[in-house]
Amino acid sequence: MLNLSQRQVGQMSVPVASQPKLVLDNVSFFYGQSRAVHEVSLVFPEKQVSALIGPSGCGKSTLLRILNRIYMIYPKQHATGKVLLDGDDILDPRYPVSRLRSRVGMVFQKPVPFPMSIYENVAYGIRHYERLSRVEMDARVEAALHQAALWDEVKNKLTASGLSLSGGQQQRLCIARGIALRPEVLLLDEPTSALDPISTARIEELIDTLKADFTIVIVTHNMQQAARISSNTAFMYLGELVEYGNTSDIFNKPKDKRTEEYITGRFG
Amino acid sequence: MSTTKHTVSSFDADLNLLRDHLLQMGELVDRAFVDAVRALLTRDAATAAKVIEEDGQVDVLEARVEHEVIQIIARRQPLAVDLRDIMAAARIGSELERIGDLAKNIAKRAGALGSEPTPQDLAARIQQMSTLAQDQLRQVLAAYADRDAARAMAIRDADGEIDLLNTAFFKESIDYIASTYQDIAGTAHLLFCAKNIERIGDHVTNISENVYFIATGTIPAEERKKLDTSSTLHPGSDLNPGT
Amino acid sequence: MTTADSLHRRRQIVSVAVLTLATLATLFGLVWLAWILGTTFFQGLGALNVKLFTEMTPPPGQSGGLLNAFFGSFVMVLMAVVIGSPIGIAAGTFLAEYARGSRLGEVIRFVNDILLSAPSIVIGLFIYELVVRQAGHFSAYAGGIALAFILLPVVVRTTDEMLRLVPDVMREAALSLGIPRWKMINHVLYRAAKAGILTGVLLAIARISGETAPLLFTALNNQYWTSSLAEPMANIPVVIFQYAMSPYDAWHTLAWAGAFVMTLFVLALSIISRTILNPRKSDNA
Repeated sequence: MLNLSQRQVGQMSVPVASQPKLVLDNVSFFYGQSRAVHEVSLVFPEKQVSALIGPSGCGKSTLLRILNRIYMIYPKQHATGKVLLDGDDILDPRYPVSRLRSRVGMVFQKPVPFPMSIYENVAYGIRHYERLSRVEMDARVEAALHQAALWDEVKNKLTASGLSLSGGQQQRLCIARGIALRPEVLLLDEPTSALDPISTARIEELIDTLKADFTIVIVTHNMQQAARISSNTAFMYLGELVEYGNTSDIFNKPKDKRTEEYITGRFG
Repeated sequence: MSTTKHTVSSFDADLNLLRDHLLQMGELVDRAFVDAVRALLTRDAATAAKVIEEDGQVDVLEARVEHEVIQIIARRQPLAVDLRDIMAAARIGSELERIGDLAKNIAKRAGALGSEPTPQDLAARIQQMSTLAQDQLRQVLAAYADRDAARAMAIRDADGEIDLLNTAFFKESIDYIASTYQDIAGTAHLLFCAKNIERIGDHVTNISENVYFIATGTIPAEERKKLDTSSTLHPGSDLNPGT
Repeated sequence: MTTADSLHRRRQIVSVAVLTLATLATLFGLVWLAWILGTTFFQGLGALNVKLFTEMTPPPGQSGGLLNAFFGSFVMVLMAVVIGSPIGIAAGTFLAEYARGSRLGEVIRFVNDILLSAPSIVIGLFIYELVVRQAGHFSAYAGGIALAFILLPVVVRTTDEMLRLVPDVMREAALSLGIPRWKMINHVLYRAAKAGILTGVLLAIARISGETAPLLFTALNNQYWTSSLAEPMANIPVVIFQYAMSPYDAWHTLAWAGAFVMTLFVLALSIISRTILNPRKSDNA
């Protein structure tokens, strides 16, 4: 009998023991009076990909948006509970929002490059935080574009408008923009649902390389994608966390009947 | 086991068709087995010929089952219980096909036996074994149709009896040859048939383990006890581990 | 003929009928435009030469141009833009970014709409009371202020609407980088809505360059050249009014010429703003 280590047996194993990066403690979210997320508690481990799945309206995107407090610009929305990023409660009003967003970046479903050149798109965020010389900034922009697997395609047209790229390239530009700030956590809100299969595959490949440097939380309505790229999966339904665990457990032998019904296509 | 339907009803249709084909295969091999044993013990050449010929249908069904399994994996990307269902279906199809081949083998040997009737007690033993095995086969097919894990486990455990009977037959045949020196070739053929029946029992056990897997997602923990020690009996030994 | 066929036939008839009516309506509109341009052109032909732009408004009986009037209109429109646009853009930004869905925002939009449709003569009277009477004399700056009041609500409205057309995702994308809101508005939103806001300003200019009534109460007119804002200043609409009402043929011709130039100017502004907003070679959407 071969003595294979857990890791070698492939994805069908317990995830490598990891430090918790984000700890959610009884987090709830309200649109005005109505509650969209009900007391969710879970832990996202460091430098792993964790997926949030569930039917429309289950609260997975809402939960993701709590993690960088992007809801704050909408007056009627608020969150309760605690979210600890390396121990700091980021939902505490005293925790500065710009510091939070330099540690937690977000990429959206629709690729939205700013109406600037490709170079500027990436440099814009960096400029807000650091004073860099031209040479240093060039290096940072190049590094971010490399990391986002976009450098080779744009290195000769950095001054072209960000909008001149194809959909998949635009999304990678948005990823480059996010990782240029060197955050610790990357939040991806259905990053490939607006893209064709080839672009989707490239971005999944990108996520696979990015997880070595970032903790990634991804919301996806594509279950096969969650099964492919994540180590941990959380299934949400009607604002509640139904089940959370190892991706291989969730997709092979889920504990909750609702989870099984959702992933085998027996929902609704 | 999920009792709700898939949102896409053609997925359910595919799964049901697969199940029906397997049950159809089960019916065919069941009949083949019964006929083969009868042909063997009554020297009925016509029935034997029929069994041999009809084995082709079982092979056709098995190929169809395999094809459907691949189709469903490609089109539906099944997960969890659906995936287990499909994988087990492929394996069960293969097991049923082997059972069919073993029945065909028994039928072939029916033609090889001479015109003298089989000695009474040897024939009785063969009948006993085959009745037991037939019953097991029917039970496991029912367990598959219902995805009944408990029933599957019971079948698995009951296989020990067939093993014991096979060992007993082995001993009795040796004794018969030793005492009468008659019809040695015929008895040799019977020995092979008894072994085939015992192997049919093993395949039924494999099917039951697959049914358990579909229902629970795990394979049964303990190794099944193999009570067939005929392979370790040597000439002159007085060993008779129970009859 | 089957029922499907006869229904189809009827739909075709209706379609052709409505298409004909629509085409006739378009032609109707175009006919007037062509007529106006044609009339003003031919009637003003005698005065359509370089002198129009180089000589001052003449006393009756002499020939001349409309230089001081063009200059006056230019100065007062420029004043209106300089005063009105920043306020208008700022107000529009407030409405779109800070007052969305709030009661205050609703009220401001409503009041703005009232101002937008206020008769310009009322605005002229208002400025007359507020500025001219206090100063004791007509002046160009009073005219500029009056025009600003007419330009303002247009710019507020278009800025508000153009900013709201920018998808929220863009805002969130900038904010999620940690960029403060005011920076996000300046660098990202304005750049994204740039074409629309500019168009709004251009259209407002087109509107105010033809306003006569408010100028009657504020800048009045001036037969001579002046570059002082504190004095009444000549301007095209009032000059046209005065010359058209006069008994002198030379003045009539000049009035027609002035009207022609003004019509062309407004037409050009409309075409320019259309090309800015919908460039023929569009970006990757």
